[in-house]
Amino acid sequence: MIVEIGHFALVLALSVALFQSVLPLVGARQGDQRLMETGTIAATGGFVLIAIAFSALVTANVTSDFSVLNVFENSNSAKPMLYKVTGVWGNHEGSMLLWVLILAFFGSLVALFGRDLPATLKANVLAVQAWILAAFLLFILLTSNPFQRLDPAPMEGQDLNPVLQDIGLAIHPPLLYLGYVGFSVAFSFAIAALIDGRIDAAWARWVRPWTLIAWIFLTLGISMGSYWAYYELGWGGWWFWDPVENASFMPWLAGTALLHSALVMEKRSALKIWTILLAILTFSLSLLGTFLVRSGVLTSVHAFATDPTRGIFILCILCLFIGGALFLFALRASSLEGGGLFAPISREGALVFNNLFLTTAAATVLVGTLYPLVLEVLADKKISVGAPFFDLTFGPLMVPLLFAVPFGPLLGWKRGDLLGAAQRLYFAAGCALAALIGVLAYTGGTRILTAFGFALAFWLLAGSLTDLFLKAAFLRTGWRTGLSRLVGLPRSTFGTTLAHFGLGVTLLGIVSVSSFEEELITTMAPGQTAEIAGYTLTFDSIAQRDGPNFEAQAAQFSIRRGGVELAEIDTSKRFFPVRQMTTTESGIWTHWFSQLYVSLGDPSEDRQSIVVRIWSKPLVTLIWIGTIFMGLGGVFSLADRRLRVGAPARNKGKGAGTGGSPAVGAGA
Amino acid sequence: MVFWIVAAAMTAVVTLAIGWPLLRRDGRGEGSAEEHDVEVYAAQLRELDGDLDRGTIAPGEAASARAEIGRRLLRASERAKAATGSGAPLAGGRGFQRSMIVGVVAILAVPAIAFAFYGSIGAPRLPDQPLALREQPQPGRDDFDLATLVDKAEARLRTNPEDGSGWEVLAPIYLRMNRPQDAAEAFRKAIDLNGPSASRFGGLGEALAEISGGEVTGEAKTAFERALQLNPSYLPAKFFLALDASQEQRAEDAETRWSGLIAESPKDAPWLRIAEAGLADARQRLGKPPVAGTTTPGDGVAAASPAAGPDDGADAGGAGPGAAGGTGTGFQGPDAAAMAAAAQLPEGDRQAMIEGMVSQLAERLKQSPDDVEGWKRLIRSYTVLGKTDEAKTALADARKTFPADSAAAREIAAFADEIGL
Repeated sequence: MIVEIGHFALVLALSVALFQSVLPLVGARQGDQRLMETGTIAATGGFVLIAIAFSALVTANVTSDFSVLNVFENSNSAKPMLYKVTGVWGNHEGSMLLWVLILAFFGSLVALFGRDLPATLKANVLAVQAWILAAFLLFILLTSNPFQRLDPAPMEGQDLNPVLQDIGLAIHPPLLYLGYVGFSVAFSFAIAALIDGRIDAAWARWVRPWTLIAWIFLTLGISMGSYWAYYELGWGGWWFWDPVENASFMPWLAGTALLHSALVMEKRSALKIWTILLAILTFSLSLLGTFLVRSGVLTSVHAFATDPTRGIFILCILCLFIGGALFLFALRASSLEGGGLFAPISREGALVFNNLFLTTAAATVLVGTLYPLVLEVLADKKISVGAPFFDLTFGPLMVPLLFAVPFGPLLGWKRGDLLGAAQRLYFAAGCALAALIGVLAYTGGTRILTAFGFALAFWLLAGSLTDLFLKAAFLRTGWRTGLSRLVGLPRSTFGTTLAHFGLGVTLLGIVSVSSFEEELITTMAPGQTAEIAGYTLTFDSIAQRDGPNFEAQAAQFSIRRGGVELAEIDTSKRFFPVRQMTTTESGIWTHWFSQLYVSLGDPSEDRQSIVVRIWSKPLVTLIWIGTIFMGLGGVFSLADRRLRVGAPARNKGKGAGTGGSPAVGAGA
Repeated sequence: MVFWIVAAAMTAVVTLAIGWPLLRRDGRGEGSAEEHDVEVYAAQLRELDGDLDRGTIAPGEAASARAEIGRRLLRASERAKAATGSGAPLAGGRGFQRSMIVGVVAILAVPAIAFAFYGSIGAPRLPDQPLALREQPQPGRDDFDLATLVDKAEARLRTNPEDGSGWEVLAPIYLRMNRPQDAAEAFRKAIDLNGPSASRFGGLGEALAEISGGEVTGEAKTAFERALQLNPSYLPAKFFLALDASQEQRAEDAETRWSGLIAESPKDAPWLRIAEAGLADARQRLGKPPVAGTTTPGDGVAAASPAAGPDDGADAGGAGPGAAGGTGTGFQGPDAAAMAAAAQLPEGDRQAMIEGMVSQLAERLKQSPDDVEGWKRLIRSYTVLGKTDEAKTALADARKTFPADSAAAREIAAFADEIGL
């Protein structure tokens, strides 16, 4: 009965979403508060209903109820409990359910925290949110119903794709979806503004925190996915420019641009129309990502879906929302009020620069991702666009952008002083120069590009700290006062610094790995040793070690340097009989920020030795550590008190007017 | 029923909740969007002052920012005044009535859509079937697990070992599961507790014969003889006694016993072929001509193994996939005891016995051909016996039986490839 209750709850949620997509809109049109308010409750109720449906599916998975087709296809009674739970979203139907769950979650957050929003804006936002929800609920119920039943129930399930049987599945998709779907709020706000034909002053203040939340999750989700692919696939790479990765990277680039342009809009009421367009584009790219992954047009581990009806359905949703949004934009953009003016050299100018490069970069990735698909459809040719294309296009776009990052926060609003900013960055320039010379000396002058890469990374690291250092005015006021000033700085300043610093950290990791990585592929028998990057690896033993639902060949290596044993690594190959698939569990030894990475290949003919792939990856972990800094920066920025003041409190008494703010408004 | 109550309750709660605001009398908002703008700009001004106090913004910059926000504030408050001045911008009474109608229609649509849509795609009667539940034997379901059943019965008998009927039920199952030691023990217990009976002694004899690899030992013979004392027409006991005579090459005794058995057996008795083969062998030894006009083969009803236990149903014999899901469909292959017995027979007898069983299988498949495993076994048997032509005929028959694109046909084809036909 639990399964069917979940099924019914999902259908009821669709019904409620349809309700929510009409009534608040009518209310906003007619100025009827009652109709507008139904949206708030419907959004919350819809979330509760989808949560019930989701719990029902989790229950079916946990109890191995193979009378549910989805559970039969993706679970197995021998599967460890953790994967029984995470397996819920390790497949097409379940992951779509998670997608709408998160969508409804964001909708209910807007409903709950949006008390201070202008009523019509809130009603419109909730209605748009409900359109998206209804479209995807319909998609789920008609083409990918996770509650499809089987009778009689088979005795045993077909097990989950072994690659997905990892702790990564517990974290990566939820984070990624929180990011993807979080941008829907910015989208809904944009559409709501277009419907109303006016942009409220509160608009930007509201859009920025929502974008920030989505951006934090997306950043961490992408990073987590990258690390997961790194250790699970056994190829030793951390980014493959795989279409699925690109699908998540494009909204990230556009979302980062949105974050910055929303800043301009919030502070200066400029770039309004552009911000609206960017909000539409960002979520459109999220939808595109969902389409690419869910429709099965790509062939990779993520593309579970093979049914073309699904692809066409999502394509229709995609066209409806992106096309509709852009049409509405074209219709209404001219009637929107433009914003303030600013000089090209100013904080606004810098942020426009940022936007230009980020959106161009997103467009580049879009071309690289879609071109092979279009070619395959039109010319029936299969090509793959990989790292060389992106290195040539995306790379050069990033260099000027990264170079400009430290300047941005140092420029004043409206009119900036470029020369002054450059002068204040002398310390960062010194660091960069030192890095340049250091690397050149280390490599004997042979790796000029590498040296510039390191210089850029140190420029970013030192440059982002410069802003904080100057704002605290350590030099002018001395350490004591400087420290207290530092503590008093708005949190968003820390957010900026942390995020930009994290960018530098990631860049450092990327440059280091791509320049100084060493790779060794050899066949080894137990007892043999291999040398890499000054370490000696000894192949100690190999043995059969079976798990609950797999058979594994586990190998042990010990790492020595100068005869001293430093660590032992376990690495294995697992064979999953139910799916007839093999996975690699790479052995990784982390020392400081660098790693030694060992993975097993196939055994030799006589089964006496086995192919072993060994990588030395200097500073590789910085790539992911940097993203943690970025996420942390986002959290700091989100925690800024001022963002919450953004939607003004109704009771003005508590508003703590520190200055002589004219008490206009209350009487109006 | 419980499902519908829960579903209805859920729908009622949701519908009432989202309809709640419509019950309010007044629908007018508290503030216009313009007033809201004013509040936002005022808050921005306060924030600017805070920044200035902290020194994060230069005084000159702050002044120009304040001027700009001030300008916006002024404009917004003018607009707000204009909006209020122009009277209520919101629709009047009739508008509200209209939106009430919209609201009520929408509210009614929620349960209607939900139930109609769910009705077309849901399976409200299908209960949950978690693994834990399906592992229990379910009455009316035939896919229960024999091993689980036995475990349960054993547990019960451990706590209550004096339960004679429990032993009686368990004993033939042990025999079927190829656990003759346990079977013999269980039959003995059943005899002790429930008193002697032909079927109990017969079962004991069969278990004992199986323990010794199919040879009818003295102990087993005694058991069969006891069974015959209790029920002189107990055919399974007669079968094994005849087998014993054949095994010990008492040709005359064997001839009498086999022909007696054949005469008494029903025409569809599963052991007839073996009996005829035994009789032929005995007569050959005695130098007599084979019996003319052998009995017509059985009617194809897959019946019990010779020593049928009290409730021993149709699927005796350990071979074949019967345990997994057979409902008595399909010939279950030669009974283990019979196979063991065949191993003891002289060469000619063994051949005859096997051929007898094979032709019985062929007959069965003519009656109920929908049995892939049966066809495969028949084809394999013919191949093993070196009867390639008959194997080919059987293969052709099997192909005719199943539609060309069915899974069964593919299985048959793959099997034919595998054995090289």
